[in-house]
Amino acid sequence: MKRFLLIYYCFLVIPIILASCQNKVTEAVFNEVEELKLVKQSIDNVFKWAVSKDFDLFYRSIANDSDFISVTPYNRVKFGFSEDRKDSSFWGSPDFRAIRHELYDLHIKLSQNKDVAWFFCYLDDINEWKGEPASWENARWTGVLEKRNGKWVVVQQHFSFASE
Amino acid sequence: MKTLRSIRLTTVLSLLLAGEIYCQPASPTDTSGNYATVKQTIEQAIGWAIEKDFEAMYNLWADDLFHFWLFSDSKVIGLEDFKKHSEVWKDPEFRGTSFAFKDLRIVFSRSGDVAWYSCFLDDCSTYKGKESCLKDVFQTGVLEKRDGRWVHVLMHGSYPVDKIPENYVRRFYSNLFETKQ
Repeated sequence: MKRFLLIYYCFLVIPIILASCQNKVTEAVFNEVEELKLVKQSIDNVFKWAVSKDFDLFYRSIANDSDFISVTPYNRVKFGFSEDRKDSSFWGSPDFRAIRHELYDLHIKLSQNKDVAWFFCYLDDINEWKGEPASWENARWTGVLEKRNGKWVVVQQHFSFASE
Repeated sequence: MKTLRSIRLTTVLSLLLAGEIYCQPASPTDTSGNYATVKQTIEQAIGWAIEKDFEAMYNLWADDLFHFWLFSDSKVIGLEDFKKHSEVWKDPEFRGTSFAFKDLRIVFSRSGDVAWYSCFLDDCSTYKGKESCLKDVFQTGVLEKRDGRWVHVLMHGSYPVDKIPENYVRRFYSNLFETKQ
């Protein structure tokens, strides 16, 4: 009986488990083009929300945890989702108006497991504060996204201007 | 009959349990021993300049790497481009002297094969006998485990535009200071 169980497990149960794990990876490989579109959309959403002040869209596009890091071009690094949320009152103010944004030279790479992506690009983010220009032009932007519960979210991002 | 029912029940339970164990992504908190290797790979991407072992340094980078550093001409795509970018460091008058990674935070992906990090970097070197340091550079990066080896796929270093150190400005705009004096 023990022998029967051993053979049963080795040749039926274990292969089924391994095959089901393998399928998860294979499925992702087939959808790489679509996956890159989704990643690009998530990257774009980090700025797209601002024109309509759709804060829900913004919060869905970044990781809602304490490990989230956002490096601004100024002397300020935001550690954790809650730190980033603190800027909501600024962006929500009627004095702040997002006009448009544009990403150019955007390059995205997917990890071998297809569950992480990283990117680099240049960014023009055109805004106004009390009617005066408050824009970033030609900012350098790099970042990392992770696919969590089927959605791509930015887990780390770094904005900067070249120093010379 | 009872035995067959027991086999069926055990199989279902085993499949559920094994599926949970083997198919579940690893915890983002690394417990596999990769942390030390990743940390060393990050440190050596700067620290290599002390020994100036170029081949060892190139092994820390992926073929499809991306790199932004402080300067506008520091955009590098791919290892071959990086090799050209690194030619300037072959000058025998140049050598790294010390470095420090402050507040280094490494996060692992849920699948465990990608890590990203942030830190403040102090990077000191000597050129023609004169030592200079880049202090508090904000550095972020991404590494991936490829063929069992952790390699940098992305690195970004910058100074905040409202806090560029004076010695850094002097280094590149010394004429401006001389004119003022």
